[in-house]
Amino acid sequence: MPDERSPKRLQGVIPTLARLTMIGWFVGVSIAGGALLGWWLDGVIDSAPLLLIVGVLLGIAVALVGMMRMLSDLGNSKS
Amino acid sequence: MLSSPKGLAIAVFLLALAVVSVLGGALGAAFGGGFLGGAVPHLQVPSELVTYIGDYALYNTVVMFVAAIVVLLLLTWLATRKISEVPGRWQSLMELLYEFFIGLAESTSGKTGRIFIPIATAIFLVVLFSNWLGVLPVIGNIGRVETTQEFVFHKLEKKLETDSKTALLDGLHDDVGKKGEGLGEYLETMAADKDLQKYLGKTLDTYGDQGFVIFDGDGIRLLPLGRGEDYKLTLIDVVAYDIEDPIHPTEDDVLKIAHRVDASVAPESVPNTDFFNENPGKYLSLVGKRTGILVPYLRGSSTDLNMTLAIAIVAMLSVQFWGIKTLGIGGYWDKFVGNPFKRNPIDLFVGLLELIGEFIKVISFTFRLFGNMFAGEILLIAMGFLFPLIGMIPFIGLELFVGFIQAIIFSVLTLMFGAFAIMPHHHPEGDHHDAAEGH
Repeated sequence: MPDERSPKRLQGVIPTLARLTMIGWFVGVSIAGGALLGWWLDGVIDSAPLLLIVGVLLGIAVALVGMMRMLSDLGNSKS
Repeated sequence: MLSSPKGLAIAVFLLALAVVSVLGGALGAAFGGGFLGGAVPHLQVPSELVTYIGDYALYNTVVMFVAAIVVLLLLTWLATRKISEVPGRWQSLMELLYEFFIGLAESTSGKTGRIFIPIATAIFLVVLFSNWLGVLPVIGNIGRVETTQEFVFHKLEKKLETDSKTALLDGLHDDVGKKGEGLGEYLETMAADKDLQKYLGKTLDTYGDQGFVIFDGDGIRLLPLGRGEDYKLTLIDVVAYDIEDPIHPTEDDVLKIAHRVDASVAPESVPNTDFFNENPGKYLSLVGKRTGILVPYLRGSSTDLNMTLAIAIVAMLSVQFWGIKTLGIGGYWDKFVGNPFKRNPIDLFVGLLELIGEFIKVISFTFRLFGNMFAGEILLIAMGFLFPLIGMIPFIGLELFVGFIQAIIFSVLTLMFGAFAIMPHHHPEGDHHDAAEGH
C-alpha cells in the first residue's frame, strides 16, 4: 500500500526473507550434519560406509520434513 | 564537477590514489610493484590466545565480545538516562528498534508475542555490536608475535593430545612454559625418545609449509612493508632447512631442531625462495631477526564459532522455554512425538525428524552467522592485500551492511521460531485469529 510506513513494510519483508534463507541453511546443515555424523560413527565402530549412507539419508529426511514444515508455516502466516 | 578546479583536483587525487593502490598491492607485485604489500596474515578458524590471566586463557574474540557489551551498555545507558516525552536522538533510535520488534511479535502471535521481545531485541543488539566492532579498521592489525617456538609447542601438544600420549604430554607440560618457553631444552633432553621423534616429525609434516614472517624492528616489531609476502620463511626453512628427512627425524636431527626452535630466528642459510635468491643482500640483513606469526589482540567476536554457538543455544533454548511455558510440557511434546503408542507410525517418524530439526536449527544459526562474518573478515584481508589504501573502503561498507542483516535475521528468526513453538499441534487455525488481529 502506498501509504504504508516503511518500518511496517519491513516487518513483512524481513521475516519472510529471513525464513526463506534459513530454509537453505537448514537443508545444507541437515544433510552435511547427517553425513558427518555417519562418517564419524563409521570410524568409531568400523562400519564404513553403512552409517555414512544412513546419516545422509536421515539428513535428507530431516531436511525435507523441516523444509516442508517451515514452508507451510510461512504459508500459514502469510494467509 | 570536473569543470571546477577543486573538483578536478579531487578527481585527480582519487585517480592517483587508485593507481598507487593497484600498483602497490599484490596485483602490482606481479609487475615489479607491490611496494605497499604486507605479509598475508596468518588465518585460522579458532580464536587466538592473547595472554594468560593466572590460569585463564584470554582469547582475542573474548576481548572483543566484552568490548561489544561495554559499548552496548554505554549506548543504552545514554539512550535511557533521560527519558522524555519528546525523545532525543538515541532515545528515538531505541524506541524505533523496540517498536519494530513489538510490531513483528504482535503481528505473528498477538499480545502473547510480547514474551519474545526481551530476548529477540537483546540478540539483535549483541550480534549487531559484535559484528560491527569486528569491522573497525584497526582490529586485527595490532597484536603480539607468536614465535616459531610457541607455534611448534602448541602444534606438538595438539598432536600428542590427539593420540593420548599422556607420558610425553605430562613431560611437555612440566618442563615447558605455557607459551613454549624452554621447548628446545625439552627436545634436547628427549632427543633419543622414538615417540617424540615420531611426533615432532608428524608436526613438521603437517605444518612444515606454515609461513613465518621475519619481523623488523626491536621492541615494537613491525610487519615488513613492501613485498611483505617475500619476507616469509616456512617452518622447515626456520628449523629443519638442512635436514634430509624432516618427517622422520633422527636423534641428531632433533638436537638441531631443538636449538633452532628456541632461537626462533631467521637462520643463516639462504632459504630457497626466489626473492631471497635474487636479493641475497636483502636476506643477509634479516638473519637473526625474529620469525613468527602476528596474533591479533582483537578479532571480531562473531568470527568465533563458540560465540555464535552460544547465542544460537540461548536462542533455541528460549524457543523451547516459550513453547513449554505456553503449551505446557505435554502440549509442547505433543508437537513432536506425543504419546508414541497412540500416534500412527508415519506421524511418529515425522515428529522424530522434527525433533532432530530443532538441533539442526542450532547448528544452522551457528554456522550462518559464523560463516558470513568469517568470510567477511577474509574478504577484507584479501582486499587490503590486493588494493592497499583504498581497496577495503567499499567492502567495509558492505560488511557493515552484512553485519546488520545477519543481526536482524538472527533475532527475527528467534522470534519466528518462538511464534511457531507456541502454536498448539494440529491446530494452527487457532493462532490465525491472533495473527489476523495483529495485522
